[in-house]
Amino acid sequence: MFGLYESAFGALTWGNILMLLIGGLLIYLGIAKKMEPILLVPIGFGIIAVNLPLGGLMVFTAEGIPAEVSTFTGAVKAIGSGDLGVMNILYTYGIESEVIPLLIFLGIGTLTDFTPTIARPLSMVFGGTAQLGISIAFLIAFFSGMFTINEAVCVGIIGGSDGPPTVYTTAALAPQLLGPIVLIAYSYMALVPILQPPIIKLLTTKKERAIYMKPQVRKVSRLELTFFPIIIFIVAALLVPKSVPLIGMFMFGNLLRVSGVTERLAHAAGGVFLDVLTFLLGLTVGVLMPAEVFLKPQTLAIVGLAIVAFAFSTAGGIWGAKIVNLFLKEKINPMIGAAGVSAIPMSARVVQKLGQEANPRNFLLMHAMGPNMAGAIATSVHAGIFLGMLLPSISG
Amino acid sequence: MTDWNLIANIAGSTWGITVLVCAIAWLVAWVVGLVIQKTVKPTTEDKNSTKG
Repeated sequence: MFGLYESAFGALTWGNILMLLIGGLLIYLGIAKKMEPILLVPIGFGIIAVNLPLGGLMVFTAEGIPAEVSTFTGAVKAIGSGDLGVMNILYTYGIESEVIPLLIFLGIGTLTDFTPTIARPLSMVFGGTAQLGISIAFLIAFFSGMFTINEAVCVGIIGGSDGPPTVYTTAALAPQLLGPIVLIAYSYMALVPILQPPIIKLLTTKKERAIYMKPQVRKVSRLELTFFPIIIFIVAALLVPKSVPLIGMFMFGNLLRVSGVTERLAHAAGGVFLDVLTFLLGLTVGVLMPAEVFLKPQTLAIVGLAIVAFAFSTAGGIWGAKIVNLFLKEKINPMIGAAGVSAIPMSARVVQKLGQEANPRNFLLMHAMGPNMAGAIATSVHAGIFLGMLLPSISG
Repeated sequence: MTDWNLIANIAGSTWGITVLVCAIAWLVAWVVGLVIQKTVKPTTEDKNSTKG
């Protein structure tokens, strides 16, 4: 009646309506509550776009998401005839090919300051121990019988609390779960200030939370800052070769930042370039969530498992710091281990806040930023190990 | 059939290896930092930079 030949009302399902509400809720949370707005607003809009029937922005078939076209003309024809949506092309060549998550990580590298990690290299260990939630969530997901091994790994990686490795791993191992996993991962990252404090309080005594650490970390020279990304890249590449794309992009971005001679490149990679990639990622993830794909028991299970992953990753960081404390003369505040759950910089801020509550003299932010940055490296390493185990090996 | 060896590796070894890689990275970063601090004089820029 309203369209020239057809209207979408007849094709609208209750699932679509529910998804429209979810999309609207995400946009509301992004705009009104400022919860990860850079991602939640495009994701919300993408969800609305894909759940308005007959639009053809993203085409799903029984076999999955079609996109392969041999020529540019072929793509234009396929889009024109409705066999393919514009977002199919963006998904296949941007996300499935891993280009967008990797370039986003490059941009994030240009915005990352490793000074606190270099000043206290021991932070690297807490970044590692704070990946515990990945393993625990994997086990629960797998034994629930709702997920295959690859899917369970991707659910677990949410516990790393780092966006690009999550997108990268899921696009490679379980692309069918990309929408819900990315949405839930980013939503929980925004909820770190609510999720982490009770877990930290449960696992530490007030006396431990009050442990005083001198507020300033040591000076770090430009030479150290320049060497750091190169060293980390080489170590990770030699030990876990499959982590090279993630760590390589992250460290290359950071090298652009600290080298002192490539400021223009760093500005470009961390500025508008990063913004464009981020909204493309958000929009593409959003259109991966039509009602028939998103409204499944698996999605609800991921919501629950993500909490488990966050909780055990926080615990892993704290336990790591407590174990290290057994060998240190000058004790560290074990809460800084919890910041190994990367979620930069929210988890470091949580530690700072709880530290001041327990001891007003404490100023833990810089100490917590060390494990926070290390957590991003550790999640990339973990993702690389998973890919090495589960992807068919390739040479070169 | 479920490959229980793979499940055990994914659940346990991957985390252990991650911690190990991070510990090795810690040692290497610490040693390189120590060498740089002992051998290279701070530049004017380094002296002027704020702590942290």
